[in-house]
Amino acid sequence: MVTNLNPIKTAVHLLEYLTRIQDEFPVTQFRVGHLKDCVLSQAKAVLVNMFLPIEIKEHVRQRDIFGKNSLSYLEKHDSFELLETKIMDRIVKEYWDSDLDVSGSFFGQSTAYNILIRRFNSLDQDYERGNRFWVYRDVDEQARPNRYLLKAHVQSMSTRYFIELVIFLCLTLFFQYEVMEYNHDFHHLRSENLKFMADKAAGQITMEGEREQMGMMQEELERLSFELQISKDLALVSLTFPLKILFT
Amino acid sequence: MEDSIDILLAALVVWWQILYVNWSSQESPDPQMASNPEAVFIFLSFLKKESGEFHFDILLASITSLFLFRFIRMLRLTRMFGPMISMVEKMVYDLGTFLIIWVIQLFTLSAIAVLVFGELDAYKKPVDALLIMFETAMGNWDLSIYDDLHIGPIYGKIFHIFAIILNLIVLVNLVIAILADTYSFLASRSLGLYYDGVISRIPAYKFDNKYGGLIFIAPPFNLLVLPLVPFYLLIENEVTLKSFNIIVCKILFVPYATIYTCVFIVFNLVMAPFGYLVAIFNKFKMLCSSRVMKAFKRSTGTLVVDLLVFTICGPVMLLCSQVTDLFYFVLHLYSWKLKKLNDQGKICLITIEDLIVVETVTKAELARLYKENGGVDLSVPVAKFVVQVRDKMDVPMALTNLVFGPHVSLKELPDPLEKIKRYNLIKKVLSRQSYKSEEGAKPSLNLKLLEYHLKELRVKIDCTMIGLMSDKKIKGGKQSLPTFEDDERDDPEI
Repeated sequence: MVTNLNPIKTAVHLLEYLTRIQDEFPVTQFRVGHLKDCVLSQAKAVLVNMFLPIEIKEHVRQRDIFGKNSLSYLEKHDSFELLETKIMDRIVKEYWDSDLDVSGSFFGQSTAYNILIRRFNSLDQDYERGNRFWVYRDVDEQARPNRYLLKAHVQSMSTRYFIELVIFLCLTLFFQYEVMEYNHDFHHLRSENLKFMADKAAGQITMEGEREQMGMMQEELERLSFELQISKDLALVSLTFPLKILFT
Repeated sequence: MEDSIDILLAALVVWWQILYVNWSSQESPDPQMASNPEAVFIFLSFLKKESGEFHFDILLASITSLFLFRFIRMLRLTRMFGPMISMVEKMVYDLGTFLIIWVIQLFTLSAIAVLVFGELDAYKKPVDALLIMFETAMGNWDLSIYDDLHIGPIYGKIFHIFAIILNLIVLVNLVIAILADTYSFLASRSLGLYYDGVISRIPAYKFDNKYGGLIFIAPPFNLLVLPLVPFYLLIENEVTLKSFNIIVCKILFVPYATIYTCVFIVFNLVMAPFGYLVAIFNKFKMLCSSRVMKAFKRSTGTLVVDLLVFTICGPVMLLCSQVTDLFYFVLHLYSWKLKKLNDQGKICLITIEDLIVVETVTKAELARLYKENGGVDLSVPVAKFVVQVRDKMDVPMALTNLVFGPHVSLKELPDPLEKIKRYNLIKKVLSRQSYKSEEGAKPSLNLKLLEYHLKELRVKIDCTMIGLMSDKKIKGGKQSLPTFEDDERDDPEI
């Protein structure tokens, strides 16, 4: 199981193997814990001292016969020590943020923005003269990419995740507000209704007063209906989030 | 975990919808008050709440709390909140272990109280005794309840003081110690914790070349993908499927692109007046600075004309720029040729020119050392040597090119990033060659050894070149490393 030339894969397979031994024979727990520490420290030494980062990236990405890469094993065994190494930081970032150079600004194509930003960065060159509207711009070569481009959306998981987070935050806040409003109005209507019933039972209410009260309550009920409808629709929107589970 | 919350939330929302359909289709209890389906639903929920049959408000509270809980879980994958949320989650497990011990001791104390002080009203029922012990643990107690104890109030008070010491002093400090220990353990691994969460979500967010379009767009826009699912299932050819996937992504990107474009238009319009003023200020400043004029090779006359032209025509030019900016912005949004941070297929190699630079610096340093100490000590600090190589390789210029562009550095290098990468590789090689004369000393480089290595390398390269030429793989004249003028110094005997 652990006979390969990939040191990281070997380490994670050893961890997996030791965990299985521990699960099968609980008496070995202490010994396995010690061995796991040894494996982790050796793997960390390899990650720190490995000369070429590209090589180690390939090692980490390599899949085993179960179709899993080393990263998934590291996550499974909570190997925080290995995940905190410099090279793993780069690899996980590359996975999550993509390896695209998205250091550019969203407003990078704006002439006015560039004039301003170059002024504030003390780059006292005449940007305006060299970038007038008739000057051709080769966006592929000259423009610095940013994380809002199509390809960045495709490759960067973090961009897609961030957009989902923002949408969900808006949905949550809107839903919370509507439900609060509904709840407030519902309790107001309830107390009004109870008071009205008590007054009616005590005979303290006239026909005209009863009609007026009914009209008010009907208005309140309509408002409640509207708020409930919005809350219901927002809750239905939340059903689109689990669709991802079906697709993945 | 997120998936479980999603499923639970979906189940509750579906329950709400089913209730709505059932209740709103019923006959209205008061047709005068509630006529439409929503009003009927509200009226019925009100009646059911009053009768205690069904509490719709609890269902609403559950859905709301799940919304917020899911949001917190989503924050776990942000670098700012992620480690902290992961730590709290881990702490909850420790707290759970502690709670079991705490509840057992509360039960024990309340059982003793019920059995020994059962004559008192406060300890007549086990539940009351448990509540008193809980309040004591929270710091709220009254010792006067033991005043009527027939065996003597002092025994009751001693028991209660024991309970106070056990709960407030021993156990509270224990829980603080447990949590502090967990925190200190996890705080040093916060980045690892964050990455642990990130890796766990990679399978759900990783873009697939064939089916990535299905998860490309965020909810609720992902409903747009549903009609495309049959096409994904029907296409069998891999190449066609990949092309189809890219086309789907481009189409699905339209809602995002529209939002981004709107933001860009508004921002660009707002910035235009400021841009105009700053550009005039810039041109005026250039006119006043002889240094800048010299650097950009522009005369005073040209600058004055430029300033006047821009002052008059500037607003129109910037207005026209709005259109071209927008055009290039949209073009850039859909651009597919983006630069990568590190090209996987392209491994950076040290070139012959770089070796010559290292060789030059080595020879210069050796000459200096021979002059200074007659070649007794031929080692230099590796950091000092690397700085010389860096300057000789024009790395600062490459950095300026990379960060500010070629306009500012006034010298354009063909591929600044490549140069920096090569320099880093040389730095690594030189660091590997270094040694420490004693513990704590700065790493040094033996220049004599380095010179021998470089000579050996030169011979190897020459041999390879000659070999290639003899194989007629290289056409033309002899290609080898340029030679240096022989040094006048004598090598010391080794």
